[in-house]
This record gives sequence, C-alpha cells and structure tokens, in this order.
Amino acid sequence: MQDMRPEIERMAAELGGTVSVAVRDIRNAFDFSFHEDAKLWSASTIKIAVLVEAVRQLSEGKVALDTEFVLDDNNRTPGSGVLRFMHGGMKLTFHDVIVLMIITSDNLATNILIDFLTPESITATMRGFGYSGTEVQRRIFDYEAMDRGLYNWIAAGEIADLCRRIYTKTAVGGEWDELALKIMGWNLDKERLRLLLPEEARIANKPGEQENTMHDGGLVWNDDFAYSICVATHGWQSRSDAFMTIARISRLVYDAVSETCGCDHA
Amino acid sequence: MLELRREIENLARACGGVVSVSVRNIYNAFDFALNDDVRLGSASTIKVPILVEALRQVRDGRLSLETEYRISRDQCRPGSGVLTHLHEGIAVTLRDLLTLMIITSDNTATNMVIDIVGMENVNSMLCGFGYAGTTLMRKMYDWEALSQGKDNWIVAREMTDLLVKIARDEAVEGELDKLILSIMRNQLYSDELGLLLLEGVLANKTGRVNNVVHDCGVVTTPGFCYAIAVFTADAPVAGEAKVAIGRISKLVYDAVSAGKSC
Repeated sequence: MQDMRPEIERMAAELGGTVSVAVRDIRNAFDFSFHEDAKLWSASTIKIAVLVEAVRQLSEGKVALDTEFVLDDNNRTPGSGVLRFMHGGMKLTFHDVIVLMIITSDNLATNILIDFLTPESITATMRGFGYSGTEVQRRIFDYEAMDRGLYNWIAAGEIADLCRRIYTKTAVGGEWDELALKIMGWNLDKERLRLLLPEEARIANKPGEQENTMHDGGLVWNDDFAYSICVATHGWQSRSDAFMTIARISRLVYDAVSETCGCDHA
Repeated sequence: MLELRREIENLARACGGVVSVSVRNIYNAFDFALNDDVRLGSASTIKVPILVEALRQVRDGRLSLETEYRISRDQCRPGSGVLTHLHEGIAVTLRDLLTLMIITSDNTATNMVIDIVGMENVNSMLCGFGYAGTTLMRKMYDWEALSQGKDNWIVAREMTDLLVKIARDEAVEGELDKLILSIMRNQLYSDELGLLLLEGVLANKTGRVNNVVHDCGVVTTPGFCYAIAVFTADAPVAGEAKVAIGRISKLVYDAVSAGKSC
C-alpha cells in the first residue's frame, strides 16, 4: 500500500487550519488515523449521533416509526432542509422526521428530534460507546444557548467508529442499524466524500458545514471492501478548497484500500 | 473579454464532452455564449419550465397553491427527492410539491405536478415563448416513454431567456415570478454554479443523469444581475464536470464584478 500520510499532510497544510481523517476497516480495508482525536464543532455531522439515538429509542419502544408529529407553523428553524418551507400543520411520522434530518440535513427535523430524545440521552449514548468528544449540548441554531457557550461536538475518529458500528450492526443492533444505514444511503448530498469516487462505490454519509468548518462522515463500500471514514476540517480560508480537499482525501483512501485488497478499482 | 472566452474554452476542453454556456445580462452584466444553441437531454433542469407553467395556472385561477394532494405509493419515483422516502398518504399542498420539485429535485413531486398542469400546457407555454428546442415529452423515470424515443430537451440559450423573463416578472407576468426565484434560492443542490460563489447570490436548478451535469440560475448581487446556464454532457468524470461548471461560473462572476463588457 502506498503511504497516504505524506500526501494527506501536504493537502492538510495547503488547506490550512485543522484537518482530521479517520478510517475504520470493516472488510478488506485498514484503519487510518490523522489527528482524529481533535474535538471540533460538529456542524450537521452530529445528526449521525441523533440518528443512532433515535433508532436506539425506537428499539426500546419509547417511540414508534409511525408516531405522529405535526409541523408547527411557529417553529421554523433556519438553515438547511425542507420542512421550514412546508405548510404548517403538515402531519409527519417519526420515520419522516429522521429521514429528513439525514437526507436533507433538515434543521427543523433535527430540533424536533433533539427535543424529543433530549441532548442528555444522545450524549449518554455516545459516552456508552466510549466517545469522550462527541456531544450534543443544544438544539441547532439556538442562539441563546450559543451565547452561553453551548455547542455540539464531534471527533473524526469517533464518527468513523460510530459509522462502523452502524454498518456492522453494533450500534443499536439488527434491524435498527440497518434502518440507520439505509437512511444514510438516501442522503441527497453526495458531494464531498462521494465526488471523486468511481461509479461502483456505494456510499452512505452525512456531511456538515458551518462557518469555516466542513466535514463528511460515513461508509464507503463495494463488492470487494468496506470501510467507514470521516474527514473533518476547521479553520480554513477557502470553502471550495475545503470541499475539494475532502473529496481528494476520500479518493486517496479509496485508491489505497483498492490497492491493499488487491482489487484495482482506481 | 477574449481572455474570458479563452479561459472558458480551456475549462470546457479539460472537462471533455459537450459544454454549453449561456450568460444573459439582466442588469450591469453582459451576454456571453459558447455553443449555447445545442439541444441536450434536460435532466432535471426541465423542472424550471414546469414550475413556470404551474404558476401561470395559479395566476389564472385554475390552480391554488394551497390545494392538498395525497401521495400514494404507486406515484412514488426513485432518484432525487424526499417524498418517495416519506410515509404513504402524506398530504402536501401544491406549494409544497412545487418547492420539493425544485429544491430537492423531487421526481415524485415532479410527476404529480406534470399530471396537475398537463404536459401539453408546459409545451404550449414554451412554444409561446418561441423556444424551438426545449420540450417536455415524458415524466421522470418513465423508461417506457424513453424507449419510444420520448425525452426531455433543453437548450442553454432558451433556458437563460426563460430565466431573464422570470427575473423581469415576465414569465408568469406578476408577483408569482418572484416566488419562482425565491423557491430556486432555497435550492439544496447548489454546489455546481454555486461552488465558488458567495452564499446567497444564486437561485438555481441543477440537472444530473449519469454523465449529464447541468446547472442554470440567476445570480443577483446589489451591483449586478445575470442569468446563466452551463450544461455538460459526456464528460469522462461527472465530478470533474461539476467542478468545471463551478469554475466557469466563477470566471463569469469575476468578469461581471470587474465590469468587463462582452
């Protein structure tokens, strides 16, 4: 296998700020770590943790997939997603809300879920996996909480590990992790990790972006191999450079894994 | 301006395949054309004319934005969008359908809107505007129609002409033209034309099928405004075509900012 580290170091230095990369082997791949413990603003990548807590509470019967949520006309969280543009009184199911949180990065859906699941429960589930960095302290776009210094956090290594758990059904287990993986596979935003991968690559992911922070975390697999990956960046000057850096690192990892498993997908 | 043309031609060559570019001045910008009259498979950019026709029928009182529709499973189509993943029987308004058709490129919503407005009415509207190339001949994911040779087509210069009309309140002829741009401004897919632009300046609609990568929209800043369409087909790497569209868009934006005339 070619050593990816010098190339990733070069790309990270060129981008500026913090670049974290974590890869976890699932099948015929390898583990890789580059500043993966750095605790960064989560942006929307925290929604993977919210998803896992949602399916965990589903598995415990605290809520059902068809539990109804009615869209409140007075509650229109800004930012990404579609629900804030939909008619007031729209009747949604719990399933709809978790799907929209992941596939359109819907902030309003996420806040409905954070309120329902509670930040404490989400964080406690992450602690249960041994993650000391990943944490939900507040709702999305809660300016009052931000003023009090509350933020949501991730570390690339923990997100890669969480994604590995989802794929290997060791997050919540069985059908619930399958559901989480399926929903992540429907994500509409397949730009960063997906952008430069060859057609045969399958991907399930959740990107995140706020101010000078951009991440993408998820799963990449094909017939020959599977791995989880998170590339997290913070403190850069150029958004498009961050975008392309994540895409290029993703391709570099894909090619290195292809080479390692002796299957030439490059 | 020769320099802009040369740079865009270089990017087009590096991208490979067909690259069609049309820029139309709305104010304080310029017109630019590169291969802008080639007729290409529309992918999802055809959803802009569908939106225009729907709002013309709202204007005429034939449709209401608040009418509710229920989504049944057999109406769901795969590909982009969200409705196919939501619970069966979900009730959405016409405004919701139009919004989802544009901002998530929802194929289920699009097919419902085509049924509601009538395919022939979209085509008469396009004909009325004098567009000979842009045509809606089939629904999204209708492979049977496709196998009969029915497809949806777009031409960059016709698309920018339509976008200019929208920006001048001349497509729906009134306030509803502003609704078109406000829906397009809430676009979730904005990493082609928008890749290198400042947030908030673009209202757009992309199209993507295999190695067809299109984007078109209106760029508005306090100082200038223009319509732009960059359509690509058969680029060897679709990801590279996206980046090429982003770079061409930035070149045009910078040239307009610098006040170059064409």
